[in-house]
Amino acid sequence: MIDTIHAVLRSLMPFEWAEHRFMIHALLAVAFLAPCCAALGVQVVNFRMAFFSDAISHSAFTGVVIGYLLVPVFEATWPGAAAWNRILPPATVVLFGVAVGAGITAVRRKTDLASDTVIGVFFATVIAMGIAVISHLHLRADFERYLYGSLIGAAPSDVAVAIIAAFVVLLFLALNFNPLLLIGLNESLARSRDIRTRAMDHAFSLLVALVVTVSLPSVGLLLVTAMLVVPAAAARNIARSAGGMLVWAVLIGWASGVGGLIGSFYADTAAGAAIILVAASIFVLSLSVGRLPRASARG
Amino acid sequence: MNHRAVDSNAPRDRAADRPSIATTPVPRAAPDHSEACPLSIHDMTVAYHRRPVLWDVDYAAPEGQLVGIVGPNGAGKSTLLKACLGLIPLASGSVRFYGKTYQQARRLVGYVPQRESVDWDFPASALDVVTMGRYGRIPWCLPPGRKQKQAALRCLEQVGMADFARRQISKLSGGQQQRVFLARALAQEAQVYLMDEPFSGVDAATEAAIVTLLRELRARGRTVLVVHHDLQTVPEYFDHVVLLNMRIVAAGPTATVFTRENLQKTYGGRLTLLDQAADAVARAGRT
Repeated sequence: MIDTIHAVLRSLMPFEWAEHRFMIHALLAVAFLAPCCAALGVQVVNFRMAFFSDAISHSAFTGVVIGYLLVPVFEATWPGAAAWNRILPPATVVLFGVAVGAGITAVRRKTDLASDTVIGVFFATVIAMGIAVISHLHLRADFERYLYGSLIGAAPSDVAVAIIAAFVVLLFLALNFNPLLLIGLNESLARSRDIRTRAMDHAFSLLVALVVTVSLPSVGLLLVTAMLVVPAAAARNIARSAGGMLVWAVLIGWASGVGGLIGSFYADTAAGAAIILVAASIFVLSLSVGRLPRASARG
Repeated sequence: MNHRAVDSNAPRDRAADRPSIATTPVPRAAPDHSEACPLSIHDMTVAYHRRPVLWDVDYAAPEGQLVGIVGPNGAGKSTLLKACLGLIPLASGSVRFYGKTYQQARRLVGYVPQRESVDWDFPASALDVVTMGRYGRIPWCLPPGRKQKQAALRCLEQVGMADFARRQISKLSGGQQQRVFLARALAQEAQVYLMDEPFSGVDAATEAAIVTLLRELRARGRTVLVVHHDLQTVPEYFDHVVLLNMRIVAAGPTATVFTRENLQKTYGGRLTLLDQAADAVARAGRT
């Protein structure tokens, strides 16, 4: 099937970059991943959770370390049952990310500390844990791949994972669009209308952890938060309504993903960095659009 | 979910600037949870960090009346509303709306939180916000249809904000934002409204519009409980008043309960406030 898609895309796009199979894989992955991140980023921006997402994405560093630590244990216990070195690191990234998200939420609710203080504590702690374990055990695993990512190394399986992630995120947003709006406006009001804000907290942490995990091999943990935040921030400058913001974020995410990938081919730069730079350029443009008077605003 | 520093559901501990409670509460018969009573509170105690912030509250709101909830800072006025809505757990006691729990009567109850607790930078138009009042009638996953939007527009008209329907809420003045928020509550078509300081920080035009709206609601048989700060306007705005300082000091028709003596018990003898109150009581006596 991937061969057919490859042939169709090559015939539609007679460009130099499209002649390379790895670019087609990367294009397909980013075409789903970037709008998926941007759509989730709408909630990140509206709920002022950029730092929260940053903490979860950086927890992936420790999550990967835990995964690699567990590989020999699983291989000794269940030898040959599965490719543990491929399964465990992504799984522990998700589980650890969710645990960090739940921890931040619980401490924030149970103390009078400001959110950024709680997140800052967790952020530093999870990074320190990862560094401590790596330095103590002299782990040789390729952690640079997780730090910087490599979109052009995307395999057909990465494309399939990106499509599933995009589907899950869009399904979550579609099923909860109205409750999320109300929570964004006022959490007490949402709770008074029987919206389970705590369950939403946990579901949201889980989604961020999932999307971060899926995005890590492509853009790396240093830039994954930008994939969430920058297109959504640009969309917020342009849009007048919550629905409009979602549409703009998805469009900007998609355009910066595809544009950044193609640009990186000609500029010979890392694709993840190029994507973020394109998104940042759109954000700068959106600042001036946001200052324009609204022609359709009455009154 | 929001990681903002506002709108904490935890009652704020303002014990330091709260006057001492100089009185034992006026004995009143504990209300039963009658199905005819819009809001009945029985033996309510609310605690925060094991420190009670509301004690032994018994109250039955009269139907179709405007009720002002008055008391000093930290008296537990907002906490009382939030506890009624189940946003803060009760240490003891019970609350019923028309004899039902809040969970059972949710559609009958409209809540207007403090304006300061709302994220007015949220990317939503005035119409979007008012349409949120219709959410009980719209499935979570569907956008509001034409019928719901028309109902929301009618509510905006009621508060004089129809011309601003498409305007982003961050572009509205404080008074306009408050009117939009009240329109959201109207769109819910509730029987009982709990409003937390709707007059706070609004201009004179908006205050007049809110008073008109409250009277329209009363004319339609709705019961409205309003947390209110301005003692001078209490006799003019409210039929009933609840004087609160961690306990209910007095509650009943404004003409009989809103007295200098009761205010002194409530506010602990703050001279400035009592002077204001004396003016208001005198004016109420003249009208």
